[in-house]
Amino acid sequence: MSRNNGSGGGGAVIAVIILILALGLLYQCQGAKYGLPVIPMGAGASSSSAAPPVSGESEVSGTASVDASVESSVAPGGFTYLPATDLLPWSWSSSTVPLPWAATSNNDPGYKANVNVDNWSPAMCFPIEGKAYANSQVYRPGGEGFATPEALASKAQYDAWYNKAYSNPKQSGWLAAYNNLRGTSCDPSNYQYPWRDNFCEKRSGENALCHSAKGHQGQDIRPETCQKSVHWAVAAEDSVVKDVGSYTLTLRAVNPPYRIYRYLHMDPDFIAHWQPLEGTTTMVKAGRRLGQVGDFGPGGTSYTTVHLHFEIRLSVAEQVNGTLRPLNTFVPPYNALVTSYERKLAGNGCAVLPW
Amino acid sequence: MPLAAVALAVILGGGIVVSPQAQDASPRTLPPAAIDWKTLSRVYNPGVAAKSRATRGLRARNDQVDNTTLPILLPDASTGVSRDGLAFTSLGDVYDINLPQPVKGLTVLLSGTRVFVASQPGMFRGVKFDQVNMGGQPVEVLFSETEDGWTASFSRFGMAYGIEVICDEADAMNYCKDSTYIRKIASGMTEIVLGAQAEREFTAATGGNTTQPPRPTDTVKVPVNRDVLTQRQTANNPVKPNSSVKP
Ligand SMILES: [Zn+2]
Repeated sequence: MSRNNGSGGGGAVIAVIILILALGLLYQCQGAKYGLPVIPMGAGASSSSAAPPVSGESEVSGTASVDASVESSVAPGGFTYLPATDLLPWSWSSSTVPLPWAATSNNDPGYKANVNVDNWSPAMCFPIEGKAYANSQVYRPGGEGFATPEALASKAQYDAWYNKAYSNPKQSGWLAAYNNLRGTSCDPSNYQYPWRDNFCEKRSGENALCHSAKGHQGQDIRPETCQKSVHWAVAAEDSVVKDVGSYTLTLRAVNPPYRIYRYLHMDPDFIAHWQPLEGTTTMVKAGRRLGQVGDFGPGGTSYTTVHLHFEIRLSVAEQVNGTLRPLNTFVPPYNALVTSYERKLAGNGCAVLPW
Repeated sequence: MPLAAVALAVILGGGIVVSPQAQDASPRTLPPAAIDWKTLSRVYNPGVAAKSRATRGLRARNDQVDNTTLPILLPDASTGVSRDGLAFTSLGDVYDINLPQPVKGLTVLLSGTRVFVASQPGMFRGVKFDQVNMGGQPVEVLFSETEDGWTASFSRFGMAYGIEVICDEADAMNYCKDSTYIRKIASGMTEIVLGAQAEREFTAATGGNTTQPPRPTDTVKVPVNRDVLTQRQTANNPVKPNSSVKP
């Protein structure tokens, strides 16, 4: 944080303080409902208007110390974003869904994001055509870590919907119960600014840059709508195709520092075309359409919400006893995504090359 | 920002506005790192060299191998990794090897690079390396479970090397259910291939008196394909391709 506070300006500081006070009031109102931390977002969230980012987000933390959560700027198209490493409350804690009647605490350092806020690919192309919404897929409507306000109205109600939702899918009413319990990923609130970082969000996989050395290894980005196989993903840099999986595409940038970009949940019908011809190397230009964003997982079946899981990997070296010790690691894509999206919105983005 | 305002913001438990310009701060890319040829010559004993003669089956392009400036590491026979579908791509200071395995949905990817980005101090304080016996050499390896498999990262001869196992079809899932398979590959990364340029550097640095590093011989010369879609009629169709192409 220290490197980022140099140019705020006095007016901005006052505005921040006012916002913080407002947030405190908001917390007291909503938190009082159960006398406990409230769910991180979504209470009555709707798309009716472009609500101010902070209030629209119901940004309420379970502790008195609200995280840094003030959007930094308003760009063309009304784009706003929360700062890097400011994850959705609960999305990084070691507790599960923030049930209001469970004795859980949001003070847990758990999976808290690392403090690294650098831009790890300052000149890349934004990897999706059209508008996009970077945010959590798990802790927002439609996600496993989310519960609707209706579901949380009473424990009996929650348990009833939970049991039904996780019963045999052939049983009638299970889907309705699931939707009541988790909401739907097409909820308009998922398709609003501000963006939010979810690198280091709670996951079982290791991530050297997360507080607990485990966490989400990329950034999840919803395309403009919740329809799958409609919106295009494009190449972030001039690259060679490193690997084509059943729902993944991996690129290796051809210029130093030779970043690796991974695109997950892609429509397999498109990425199959990038399978290299025997013995050849396939190159793509920055901005090249790669395929369409979907909800696909292993075997090319429906698996998750409609989103692009976007990863940047790099070899990063630190000095250990006078010699360089390099390590391949996932790096946080968030700031590179923010700046490339801002360039795109301002008309300075990459030219998209057709399929 | 005035100090008093910072203090007030902290007392109130609030954050600090991020200035947009700060996001342009980008980590520095370091010049290609020096290769520790001395260590390579020490571990590059006749036994390892004999093993690496088996790499003559490397189905890689001569030019790509010869342009690679760093030692190329391959898994030995003990790992059981098939090289039948090997694809090798080099950008000089970085290379990638793609090894699709006979099991549907199982892929082993290998990479090596001498170009690094400078880390922030303490960036990796949370890293827990495992010690792996790599052909008699203890090597620190970082294993990470990913969304679709496992990665292993380690350094040898001052270079960064990576192994990735991808399991993305039902038949392959057993290979990624834990780290057993990738650990087996990591411990067998003992075959070393030097392209022409790397071999020249190796010889110059070691006086040319060490074991002669073998080079792949029966490599295949094939053209670089700029953009595979331009060669495939179906791909030029802007509508969703026919589902019959599904893998
Ligand atoms: Zn993800």
